[in-house]
Amino acid sequence: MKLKKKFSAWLLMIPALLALYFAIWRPQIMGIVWSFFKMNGYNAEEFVGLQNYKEVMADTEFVKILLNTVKYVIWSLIIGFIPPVIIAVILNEMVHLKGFFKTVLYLPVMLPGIVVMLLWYYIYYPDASGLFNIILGHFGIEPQMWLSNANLTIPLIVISMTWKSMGASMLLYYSALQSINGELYEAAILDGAGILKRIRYVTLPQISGVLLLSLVNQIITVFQVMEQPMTMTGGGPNGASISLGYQLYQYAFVSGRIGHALALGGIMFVFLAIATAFYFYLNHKIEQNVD
Amino acid sequence: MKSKKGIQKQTGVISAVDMRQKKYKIMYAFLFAFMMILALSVIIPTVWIFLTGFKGSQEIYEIPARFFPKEFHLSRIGEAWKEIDISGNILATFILAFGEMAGMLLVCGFGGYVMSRLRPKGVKAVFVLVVLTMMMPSTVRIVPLYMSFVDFPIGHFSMLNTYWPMIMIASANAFNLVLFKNFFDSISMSIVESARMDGCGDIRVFFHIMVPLSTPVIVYTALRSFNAVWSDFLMPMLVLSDQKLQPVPTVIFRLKSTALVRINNYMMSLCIACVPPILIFIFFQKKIMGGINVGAVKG
Repeated sequence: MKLKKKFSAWLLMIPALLALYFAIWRPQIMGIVWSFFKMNGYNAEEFVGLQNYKEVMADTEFVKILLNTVKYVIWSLIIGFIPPVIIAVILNEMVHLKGFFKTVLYLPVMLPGIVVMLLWYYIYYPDASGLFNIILGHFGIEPQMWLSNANLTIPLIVISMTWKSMGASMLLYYSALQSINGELYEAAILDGAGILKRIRYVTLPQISGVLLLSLVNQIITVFQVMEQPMTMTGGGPNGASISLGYQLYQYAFVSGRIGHALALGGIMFVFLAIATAFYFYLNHKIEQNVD
Repeated sequence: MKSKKGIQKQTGVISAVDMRQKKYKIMYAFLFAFMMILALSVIIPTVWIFLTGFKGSQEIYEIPARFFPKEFHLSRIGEAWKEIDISGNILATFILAFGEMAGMLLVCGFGGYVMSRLRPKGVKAVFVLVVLTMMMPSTVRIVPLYMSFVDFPIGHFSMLNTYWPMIMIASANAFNLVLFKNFFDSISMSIVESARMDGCGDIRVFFHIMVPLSTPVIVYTALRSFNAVWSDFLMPMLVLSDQKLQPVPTVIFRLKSTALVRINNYMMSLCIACVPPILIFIFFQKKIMGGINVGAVKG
């Protein structure tokens, strides 16, 4: 009876195990294994050790692309991480139209990702028909290059990513703010704390756990950025917006260098594994603090 | 203690008492204006897609371009529809969306149930693995994943030009699996026990007790899964070379690179892709935005 019960439980687990194995675990592991093989098309031919890695890193563009990816991450911390915190705090202050603001700012989260990328592609369109240039035109300013400007292209892409995801992080912080006990503020007011001091000593400590976790989460996500440069710039101008993820796509599906794509994946995996280990370390620490 | 409009300020750093001072009233006005500008920065680009979609073919080449179209004809929808020829792809997107939804609910529902309630020996290790899986970088596995669709490791058949790859990826959703497990954890054990006393097996307990009590998590994950199909263009693009099978997001990306379609018709295709997710947002707004609390249930 007991054995039968156990058996039927594992039977129900089989779909989940199969899906996870074939869609995540196997490709994740085989990607690393195959990166040490000479690939002939989609077949692993012979073990060549670090050969693929050497070739990828010897590519003259490699350092530039790695730095681009770091730029994406840094800009996303400046543009994408801090504003939603501030917005959530301000939203929490609102007496009027609170529900309206919350819903409207969440709207881009619901819009299809591909639509948002292409919408911003047209907002930044370099001739007079782009939305930004239409607006500038009303003030008599010449059309700007926007995404075709090598110095601006990464921050501009990050702005579009932030526009899309801001609502989700704002909502996350907002619900953390909602759970702060009002008595804490009353106590702070009695102690004569002004607005800034109340934010510094009451608000921030109460939401710091959520903040830290979404910080690491964002670094991990943005480090893998691929679809945005693919749809919005094609990596241009002159490779200024190519990320590691997009380069991996190029290797695998454009230039057919499968071995190089796998090795680049391996390099990204190492970076991300370090960040993820850090994430679990933080998560563990925060959960300990909560209990 | 009531403010001007009779609404009591309840949350936040600025207290209701502060609000009676002029200094704080001005500050509040500034913050309110800031939020208004922010809301506009969301609304204007969104509306602009629709407005450009409705512009006439002559008007799109006019310089300087205008924000609002000169005339507003609903016939533009039909005109654009003819040029982008997308009806079959819309149907395909719905089929794919329901496939992914069904796969995800089946896999994550059963999986969550086993991990939460049946707990056979060894399932704890699986749970740890699932949590780790949530953090695995998806970009890195895209190449080996594609290789397994070209030549599936069991049986060595090709999955190209079928929906199985996308359904499999959507089903292997570690995040939803944990969500289901946590939600099932919160269901009272006594109900399950009494059903067992009446002779219900595992499957009957699942369908007659767990499922009816789990509508919040089912609706939330189903909606998110449905929505994701209207976003995801990359994997369908790699897997589906048959253009008739491609979902709308892939078509949109493909049309961009062909550059044969005029911008107003192209914008109309973006509008079409926005309609189902926006409708879902309008009808299920509370469920979606409250979903954050579904996730907050800790086991």
